[in-house]
Amino acid sequence: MAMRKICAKDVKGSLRLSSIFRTLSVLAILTFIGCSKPQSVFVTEYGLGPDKWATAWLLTRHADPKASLKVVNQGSSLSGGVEFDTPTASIRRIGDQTAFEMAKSQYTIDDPIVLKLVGIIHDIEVNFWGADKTQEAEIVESAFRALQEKYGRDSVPANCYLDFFDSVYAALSQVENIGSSLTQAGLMTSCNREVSTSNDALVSEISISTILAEMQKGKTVAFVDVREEEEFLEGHIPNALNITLRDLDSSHVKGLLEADYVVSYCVKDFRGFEMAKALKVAGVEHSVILNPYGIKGWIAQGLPTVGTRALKKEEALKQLERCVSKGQCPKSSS
Amino acid sequence: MKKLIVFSALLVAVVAAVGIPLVTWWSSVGNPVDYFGGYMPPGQQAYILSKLAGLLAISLFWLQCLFALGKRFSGAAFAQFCGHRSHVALGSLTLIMVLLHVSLFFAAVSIRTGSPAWGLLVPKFSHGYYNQQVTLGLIAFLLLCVGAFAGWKTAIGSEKWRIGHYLWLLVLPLAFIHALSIGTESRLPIMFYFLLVMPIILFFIGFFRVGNHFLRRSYVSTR
Repeated sequence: MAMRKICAKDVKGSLRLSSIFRTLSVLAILTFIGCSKPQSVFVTEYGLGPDKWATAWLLTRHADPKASLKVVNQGSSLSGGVEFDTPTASIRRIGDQTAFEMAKSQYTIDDPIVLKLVGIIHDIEVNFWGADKTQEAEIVESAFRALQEKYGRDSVPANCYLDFFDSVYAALSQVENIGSSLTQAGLMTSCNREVSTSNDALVSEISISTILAEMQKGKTVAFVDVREEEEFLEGHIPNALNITLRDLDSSHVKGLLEADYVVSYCVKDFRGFEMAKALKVAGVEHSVILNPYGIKGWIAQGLPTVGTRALKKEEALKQLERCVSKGQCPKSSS
Repeated sequence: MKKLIVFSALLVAVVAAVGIPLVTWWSSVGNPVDYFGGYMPPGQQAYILSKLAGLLAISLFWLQCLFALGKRFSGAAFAQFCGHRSHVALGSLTLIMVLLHVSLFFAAVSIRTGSPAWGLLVPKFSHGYYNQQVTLGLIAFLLLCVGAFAGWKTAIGSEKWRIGHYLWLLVLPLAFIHALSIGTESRLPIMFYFLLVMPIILFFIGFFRVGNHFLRRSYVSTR
């Protein structure tokens, strides 16, 4: 009898424990699924056509202004967002319809300026041989190509394209409202201000090419490496300061106030973002993070690093100087 | 009276184990609601939640060790609050926190990079300091899973698994090294001192427990 009691108790205990483990597994899976779901992101492959960038602009400025834009290299994974202008996307060029038109109808955007842009993009991308239906198409296309010439056809940062279409939109609004005429000069974007994918960002993101352009102009850029000292010593951006989040104090803030840009970074900018946020709260106005994110993004752009697992300081500085003067670096230089 | 003292000590330990990580995290991250309003770099929300889960995980793990070591040495009063059911419940909660810490960090990196971060789940000792410390955390996580499984097997009567449950002795130092080497918040003063006090308390309770054990044995043998 006593034996039977113990067995029953054991079975009960085992059932309880196995249900706890089952619950744990379900929780872990649910957590993973829940957290893997990305925030609103539009994703496409890097390309050169005005249709792609106009569509990117339309999606992130009008369809969902809170969404971010993710641009991957040709052949890279497109997961983690709503695809557009790719062979498998629902928003892509189909027959005589541009991706821009598809996006406009899919998100039912009825802004008259956007409608005008539909005609312009159609003229540039589809209507090669016929007479342009819009007067502005040629001017917009020339300005677009000028932007590509300025940065190198394959190196225009995504944010510059978005800036460009911001200025096209603004110029077209002026044409519509005050009757001014559209000029190519009016559409040029300096593309040199701090950029973020949305206006409600806590911390702005700045493209690496923009930061190099700023350095070339003589602006002071302070890099703050937020990682632990051991990581910093292995490799860091030349002349970066090593300040961990817990060590940040008013003397650091005071020293950083004079820089034109304070770029906080870590491996992929999880800690970098936290530091940039803390600096912004402390009054450092131009506190930003890099895009592509962190030292991984910096290295992926072919930019040099200093440290025991990287280059010597003098060598890295020389290389960085070369990259700054050219506005970009060969991908194999680091 | 003894019961009241034990209960008060337990209450202080529980409040510290939950409160200190929460206060530390809040002081570092600020209002978490800010992370869910405007634009954020992809994965940042998962990252900050992963940090909270990590801080809570190490504190709860310490609490679990404290209760497990303390229950035999302080007698009935302690056992009343920290019996087998409490051990299973707290152990499960600790495991949930560790799973959340790992899965949220994995999710954060995957979202940020746009592809699953399988590389995090592969031990890397020669890829620099950061990867080494992540690897220590990964090993601690795997050992903890084995230890928890062994605890469950022991509970259902498979005695040969009992030794596996003692893997916590390895998990605890690995988790401490992992937390103190790359944990951002773990070296903020309040959490840092708490982490320093944790092993000291465990050492003394362990020491008294071993002493108690020998005293009892010598008492039994002299009788």
